[in-house]
Amino acid sequence: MSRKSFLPALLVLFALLLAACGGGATPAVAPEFTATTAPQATATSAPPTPTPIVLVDGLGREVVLAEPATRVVALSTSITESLFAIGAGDQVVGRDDFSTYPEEALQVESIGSLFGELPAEAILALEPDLVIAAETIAPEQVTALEGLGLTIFWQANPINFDDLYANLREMAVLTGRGEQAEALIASIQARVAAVESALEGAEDRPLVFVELDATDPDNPYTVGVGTFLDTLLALAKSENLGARIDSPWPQASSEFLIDQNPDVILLADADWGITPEAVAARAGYDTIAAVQNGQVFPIDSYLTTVPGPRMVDGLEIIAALLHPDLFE
Amino acid sequence: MKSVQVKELCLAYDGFQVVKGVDFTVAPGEVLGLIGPNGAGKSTLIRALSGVLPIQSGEVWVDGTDLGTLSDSQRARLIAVVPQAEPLGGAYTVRQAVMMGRTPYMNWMGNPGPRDQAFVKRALEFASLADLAGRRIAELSGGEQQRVLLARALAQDTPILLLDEPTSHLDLQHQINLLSLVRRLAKENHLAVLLAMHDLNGVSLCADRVALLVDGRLVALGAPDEVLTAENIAAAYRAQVEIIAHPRYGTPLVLPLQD
Amino acid sequence: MRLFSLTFAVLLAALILSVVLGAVWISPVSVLQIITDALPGVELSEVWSAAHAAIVLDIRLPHAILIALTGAALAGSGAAYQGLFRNPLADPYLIGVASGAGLGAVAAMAIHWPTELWNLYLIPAAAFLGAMLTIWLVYQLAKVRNIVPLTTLILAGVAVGSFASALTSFLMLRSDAQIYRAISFLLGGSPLTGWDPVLAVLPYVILGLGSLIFFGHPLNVLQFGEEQAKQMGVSVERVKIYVIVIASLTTAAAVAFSGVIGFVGLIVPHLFRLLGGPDYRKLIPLSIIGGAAALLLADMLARVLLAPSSLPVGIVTALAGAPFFLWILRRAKREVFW
Repeated sequence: MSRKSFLPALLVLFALLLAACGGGATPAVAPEFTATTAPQATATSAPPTPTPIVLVDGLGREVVLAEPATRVVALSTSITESLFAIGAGDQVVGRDDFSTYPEEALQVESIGSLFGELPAEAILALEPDLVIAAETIAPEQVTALEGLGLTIFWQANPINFDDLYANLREMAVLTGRGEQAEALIASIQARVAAVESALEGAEDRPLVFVELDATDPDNPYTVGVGTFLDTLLALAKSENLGARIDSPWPQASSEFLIDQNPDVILLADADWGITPEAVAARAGYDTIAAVQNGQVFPIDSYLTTVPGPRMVDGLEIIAALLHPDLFE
Repeated sequence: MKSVQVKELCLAYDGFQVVKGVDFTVAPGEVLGLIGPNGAGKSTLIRALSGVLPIQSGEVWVDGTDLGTLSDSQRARLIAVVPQAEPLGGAYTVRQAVMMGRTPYMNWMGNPGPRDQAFVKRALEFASLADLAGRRIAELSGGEQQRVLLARALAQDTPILLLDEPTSHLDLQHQINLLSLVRRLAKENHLAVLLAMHDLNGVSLCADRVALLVDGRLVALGAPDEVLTAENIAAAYRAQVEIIAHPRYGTPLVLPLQD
Repeated sequence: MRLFSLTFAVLLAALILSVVLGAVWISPVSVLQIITDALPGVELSEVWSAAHAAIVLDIRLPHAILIALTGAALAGSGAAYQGLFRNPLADPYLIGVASGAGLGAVAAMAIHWPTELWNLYLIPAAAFLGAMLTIWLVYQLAKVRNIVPLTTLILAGVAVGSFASALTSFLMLRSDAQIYRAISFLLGGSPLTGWDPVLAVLPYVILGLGSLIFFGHPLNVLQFGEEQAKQMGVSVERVKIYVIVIASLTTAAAVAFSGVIGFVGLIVPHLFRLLGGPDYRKLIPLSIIGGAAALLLADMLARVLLAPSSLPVGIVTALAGAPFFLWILRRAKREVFW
């Protein structure tokens, strides 16, 4: 055959091989992904019933449990924290290396880091009846775990409190902790409402820049639209400078920062040694209103970026920093 | 026993007309010396005859076969080339390298049969390489490396043999050795040999006929004393020489004159 | 012949160790029992846990075979490339397979696929496609009528490869949190488990490597230069095309499922050239077997060193490969092996 037709022929051959293999792969538990427009679960908030639990997860997969899970492996910091917060801590048999809150979680066996290849062996060895995965787990990894006979429930990261409540309710149904979950949700709602009402009289809407990462101090990373922290900033009656850049995790140049002149700078990278003094000393930053008025504050990165129940703590902290006169 | 006939051969290379309408024949058992100044087209001619360079116009025939109709493998059974020694393939042993000359006859995996072994053995003996058969080429001297290339061409068992500046990097002893080997090959095995060389005196001693190539044209073709004349050399090389007869063999000796 | 037997023995040992060792401790006896029981027609009374059986049969065994196939593909193609390009620095990624595969994979990762289109093989297929398109582009750029000058091919490969890498980095930075997923692929690692990836890769590797073995002799002759090879009757341009296409296909298939693993394709052929000589008829098969063994050993280290987490295997091959390369260099100064 001529050289020109060689390549397309190979591609067709590969496509056929793919189709043949793809058709043969039937995972043990969940059927093929079904198309859904609303990825969130359609669960109820009532206490669990002994009938089989059927939920649709964030990838549109239908997940079935005969009864609430008693051996759960949590594959993210926020999921571990959430499970403990709804009282399902005793049902958690595995967590990842970065799940370090609450302190009881440290007693749970870690299956290692989620970076790179999933530690499938460690997960299997724990013989879980449920694995709850967050957005860092890729769809092919979910299918891979399914192929090993595991039941996996995938949740998208919440970007606002309603998403968080929905995720908590899903976890509650899966672990039979409906009552505790509702109590937790109620308390969070109350605290959010308290912040909102305190801010009703707020006259100003400061322009805020949140610095997530300044490995390159001339081009720090911030948060944009589509993140929980952006939601917190909105709830705290402020304007997120990062929202002016078109990306959920945008990189802002120093020039942009100086030009836009934010009123407040929040340092979510304070845990990694960035101090307000260091920021103020950066070239050109002395013209920024936030620096001139001493409005550069370190904030706890966990409480403001881990999308779990303690985001409300983060909200309270940010609101107090931005409107100190309304929070004594 | 075959002869090679070149008919009105024209060769172009990188847009330049390098060889312009060359005609000659080399008979079996004959050594034809190809001489000419740098850039005259000697190497180009050898490369075209061996199939490496495409022919612009004209034909090359080996007896009744037009080389243009042959595949690489078929051509390799008719024509073998002894190139100038280069450092390539130094990690192979002498025997491995000479065995590669049998490529046109061996199977795809290059596994030698008894005939191939026999040819290689004969070639190694002819080139006095039997003792060095297990040595790596890179460890040999320049003269020995050139003999390996000769043995490899021999193993290829072709009626036509082309040599492209085979003595350029050799010292006197090895030059003499190689040229006498070539002459023996032609006479004993009835090969048609085309020998392109700078060394005019070497050609004179070794060749039956000489062809003088200047600027891509064959300006003289005949016995050594007919071609190696002071006028021809002066015109071709723009160098003044005096020609005397070799004291022992009577062949023309080219003696350079200073300006 | 002794070298073949020795290398094969190392391969067997590596395979066995790969199945016995892992993040979770399972006794070798159990492993043996599990595997024996899995053989058709054999029934042992089950004294092991279902989890252990799943680990051995669904994780370790197919993973070991996939890694072995990948190592074989990389080293075999690497040897062929070194022979074709007559360049000791040649590796299977020389003309852009890795960059193309990386771009394909990361591009597929950057798209938010609607669930009805999602397929497990989407990313490997995209990687494979990226690799083959890159090779085709490089070939088109380098060829002059019907001839492919090797130096031009390398230069075109470097240029296109750099461009693809830059695009890949750009995509990685722009696409939210997909960076980890992309880095995993680029450092070498297979997110797919089970037997399906093995079955998908198998035909390419078997056919590809099987064909490359037949090019041992032409590659030998090519070491004396393209002109001399042609004068000895080798159809040089055809050999070049075939070796490039077959080696690229084989490498692309391996990379599609195992990510970009470096050093194996470069070092293993050199090692066997040093031990067994320059004859490509032996070198290619030796590299195939040795490459499988080497990558299995590297993968074992990657899985065990930081258990239960695993290092990307590409990091282990680089860390182990670099000092190894230096050792080869020192040997090379003392004897002729290239």
